[in-house]
Amino acid sequence: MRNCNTDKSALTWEQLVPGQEFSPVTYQMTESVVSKYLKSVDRFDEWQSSSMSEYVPPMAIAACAMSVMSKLFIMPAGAIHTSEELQFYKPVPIGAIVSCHAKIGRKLGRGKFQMLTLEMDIINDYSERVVSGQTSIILTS
Amino acid sequence: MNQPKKISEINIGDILPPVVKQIAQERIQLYAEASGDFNPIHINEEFAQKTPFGGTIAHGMLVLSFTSALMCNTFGLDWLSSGTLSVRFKAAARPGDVITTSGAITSIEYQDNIPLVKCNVESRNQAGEVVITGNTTVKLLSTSASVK
Repeated sequence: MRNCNTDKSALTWEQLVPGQEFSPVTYQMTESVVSKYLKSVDRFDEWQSSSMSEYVPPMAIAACAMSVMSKLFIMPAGAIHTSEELQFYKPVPIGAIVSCHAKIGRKLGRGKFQMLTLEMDIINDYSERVVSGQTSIILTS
Repeated sequence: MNQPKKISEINIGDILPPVVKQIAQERIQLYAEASGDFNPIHINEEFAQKTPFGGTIAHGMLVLSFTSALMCNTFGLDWLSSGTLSVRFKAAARPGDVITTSGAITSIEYQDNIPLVKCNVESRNQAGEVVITGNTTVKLLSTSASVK
C-alpha cells in the first residue's frame, strides 16, 4: 500500500497501447494527504467547518488517482488535460484505503498531435466503486 | 458552506452561488506537492516559457476543483454520493488569474422518484475568457440543496 505520492517503474508514452491495463495500485487517503490537498485548493477552512469534514473531497481522490497513474507511465513534459469526466458514487471517509484500476482508453498520434485517454475506477475496501473517470491528455509539443 | 434548502425551493434556471478563487504560483506549487503532478509546465517558468503557453499554467485538476466546490457548496453530501461532471478545458489558468466558477440548473428530472438535477457550469478568468465549460449532474438523495 502506498500513500498518495507513490512511485513505480514507469512505462514510456511510446510503450502505451489502447486497452492496456495497469496493475491496481492501493493507497490511503490519510488525514495528512487530505489536509495537504485542501490547503492546495484553498478549501481547508470551508471543508473543516462543513458537515462533510469526515469525508475526503472527491476531487482529492481523483487527484491522487491521477498521481498514481502518472507514476505508472512517464508523462511527457508539457502534457496537459483537455477534458475530464468524473462520477462519484459514494463518500469516502478520511483514512480509507482505496485502489485505483486504470487502463489506456484511446491513443491517437498524427504528426505533432498526440492524444491519450485514461480510464480509471477507484474501489474501496469493500470492493465498492467510489469514483470513476476518464481523462484526455494532449501533448503541446 | 451554505445552508441547504429543500428540493421544493429549487427551480430550473436557478443560479448556484459562484466560487471565486485567485490562482497564484504558490498555490500551483502547493497543488503539485499535494497531487504529485510536477509537470514542468506548471512549476518551471523557464520550461513553460518555451511552450505555446509562454509561462506556467495551473493544473487543470486544480481549476476543476472549483467546480466541485461549487457543487459541494450547493448539494453537500449528495455531490459526494452521486455527482457527475463532464468538462472541457478551453483555456489555461495562469498565475495572477482570478477564476470565477458559476453554474445554473438546467433541468430537474426524476429517476426512481429521486430528483436528478442537471447544471451547466463554467469557469472564467478576470477577462471573461472561458477556462472550463461543461455539465454536472447530482441526485438529491437527501432531498435538500442550497441555491440562491
